Amino acid sequence: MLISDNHSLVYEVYSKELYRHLYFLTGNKELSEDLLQNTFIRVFQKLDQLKDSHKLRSWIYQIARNLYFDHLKSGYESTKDILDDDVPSLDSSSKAQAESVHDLNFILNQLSPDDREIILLVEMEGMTVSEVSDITRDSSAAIKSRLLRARKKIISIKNESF
Amino acid sequence: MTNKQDDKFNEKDLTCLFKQAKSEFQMDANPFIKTRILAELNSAKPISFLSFLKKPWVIFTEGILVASLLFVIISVNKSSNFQAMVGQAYAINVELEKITDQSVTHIKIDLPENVEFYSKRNDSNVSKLKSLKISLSTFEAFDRIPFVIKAKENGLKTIKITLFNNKEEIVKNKIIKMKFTTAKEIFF
Repeated sequence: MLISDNHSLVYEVYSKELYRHLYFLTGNKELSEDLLQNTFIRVFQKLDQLKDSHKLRSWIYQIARNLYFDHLKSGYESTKDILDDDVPSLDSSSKAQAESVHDLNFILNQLSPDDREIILLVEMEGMTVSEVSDITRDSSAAIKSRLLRARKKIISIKNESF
Repeated sequence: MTNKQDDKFNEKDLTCLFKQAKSEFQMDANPFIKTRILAELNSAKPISFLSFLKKPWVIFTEGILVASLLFVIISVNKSSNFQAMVGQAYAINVELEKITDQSVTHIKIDLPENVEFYSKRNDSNVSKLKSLKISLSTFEAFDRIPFVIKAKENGLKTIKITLFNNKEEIVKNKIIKMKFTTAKEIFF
């Protein structure tokens, strides 16, 4: 199978944001790279099955989340076990940037994977509840409820840390 | 619930927290993931190599058909560094659209030691070649020039592509650096 210009374009457009999403979702660089790679392999294998091109972004995220939850079910190491060792190593000039990323990762790691996914899709990737619903196949009400719960939890964690 | 006190973290702060982390997230995924995706896709299905290679006028590529390839697209205007596997054939596509405005009439490709042009038929005449000259007129209908190489040993290898005009003057040089390692070193 040869990769076409369309495939390359899809990768260039979506790989960076998906990698960021997966990194915050998993808290682990290697795992997020594996998931990114496997996501795009599936995307390219099934791209011709996508009927509505407007749904491409949510379809890619849907494939990524399925792989992530499959990974969790498979019983591999918890992200909590590896998070602390996986803070990106940046040079001194960008230390402040690493702190903000580390800070958010620390908080997200205290949420359930489901809540972590929802809050990331909405707050980080700017998706609407409807778009998240396309990805998770949950009802809008369930997503809103989970979003509220995640926000409360994060606010509580931050205020307890003061 | 939003805490209204100024010294407490609230929903507005939460939004800022995500925005800041997003804007300051500077990590990039391993650049070789794209290559690995290609390798995986190529290994899943048999390759039907570029159909234009079957055309009789493609003299250069006639002996360089390959069964299993990784593709590297090279722009003549950008520096290129790649990590690659020893023993794996790589189809390198030199983008022609970047050079169409110049008076380039032909291209010369020089390979370093222990890197050879690859032939599906194991043609020793092909693998013995250390340099090739290709006329651009051969490829005028396409935007890339493909050639296939394979390394026999580890190490950083430099492939030189020189663009000439019709007076045999050098118009541009292009250096492709490929660091060849074993598959284990790349993937693990």
